[in-house]
This record gives sequence, structure tokens and C-alpha cells, in this order.
Amino acid sequence: MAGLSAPYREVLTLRFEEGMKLEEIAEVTRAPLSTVKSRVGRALETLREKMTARYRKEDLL
Amino acid sequence: MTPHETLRQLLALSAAGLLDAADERRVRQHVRECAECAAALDDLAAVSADLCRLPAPIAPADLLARTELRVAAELSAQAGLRHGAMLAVGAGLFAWMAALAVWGLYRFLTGSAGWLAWLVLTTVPAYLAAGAVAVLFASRRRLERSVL
Repeated sequence: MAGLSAPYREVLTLRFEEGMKLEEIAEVTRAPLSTVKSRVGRALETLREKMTARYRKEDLL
Repeated sequence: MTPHETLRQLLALSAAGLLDAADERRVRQHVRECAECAAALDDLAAVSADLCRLPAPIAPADLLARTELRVAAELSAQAGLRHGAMLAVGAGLFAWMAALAVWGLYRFLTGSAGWLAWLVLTTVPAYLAAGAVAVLFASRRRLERSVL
């Protein structure tokens, strides 16, 4: 998660550590709901890509 | 955008538990028919589960004490600034009254109204005093910063 940029880390922290809903995250970050949705989507996709790449690397070793 | 692409974008939100019931139903129905999206949703769900398990960062034991110290230092600096401003206003008033008094004394002693001599007599000491005060304030701030 440290490799993500601040806005992405922010939404993930608010969702998974604080358990906030979309509307609450939008209020706290002062970002539109659509922006929060896309940030959550991109952040998880990025982590998924990193995870997949790591497993692929481990398989090769 | 095809229905597949639209639903593909909802997968991450579904894994994060952020979809409303209607969108969640659409996603579930789609992944039953689309192996690619089903695999992606599994991966995203695994990432979400990992994020839920992340330990909350533990704050250093002295964080509260250090924060309180910094807040106290900032409040003290603000109070120092207010005090300095009041001192400056007081010093200005005093200098103004002293200049008037010196002018009166000068006229009384010399019997003349020479404004140039009066100006030199009042301005030069005033600038010297202001410089001395500025040096004192600067050295005090340096000392405060080195202590904090």
C-alpha cells in the first residue's frame, strides 16, 4: 500500500481501517462521489496488479 | 461501453463492499457468466481481505507528549508575538512623547525653534534604540528555537 499515491491510500484507509461508506469518504476527503468511486477502483486494481506480479515472480523463482 | 466493461469497473467497488444492492446483483449475475470477471473479482476480494487484516499502525509511546509540547510551543510563540506587538505599540507611543518632550526642552534651553537639530536629536537615538530592541528580540527567538 506504501507504493500508492496519497489520494489512493487515503480512500483505502478510510474504507478498510475506518470502515467508512462512500458518502462518508466523500465528505471527509471533500471529493465528489464519482471521484471516490474511481479512486477506490483504481487503488484496488493497482494492488491487485502488484499482487499478481509478485505471485508471478515467486512462481518463476 | 459494453455491459462487460461497465460491470468490470464495478468489480473493485463490489470487492470493497461499496455497491448498492441493485449493482451488487448485476455484478453477481455477470460473474456467473464471465470467467474473466469472476477471476478478477476473486483477486480483488483477496486484496480487500488482506487490507481488512492489516494491523492498525501503533502510535509511538511519546507521540502524545511530543504533540502536546509542540502545541504548547506554538501557543507560547503566538503569545510572544502578541506581547511583542504590544511592546512595539507602547515603545512607539513612548518615543512620540519623548520626542515632543525633547523638542520642548530643546526650545527651552536654546530659545530657538531649529527643527533640523531637533530632528537629529530625536531621530538618531530612536533608530539606535529600535536597532538594539530588534537585536534583542532576534537573539531571544534564536534562544527559544534552540531550547525547543
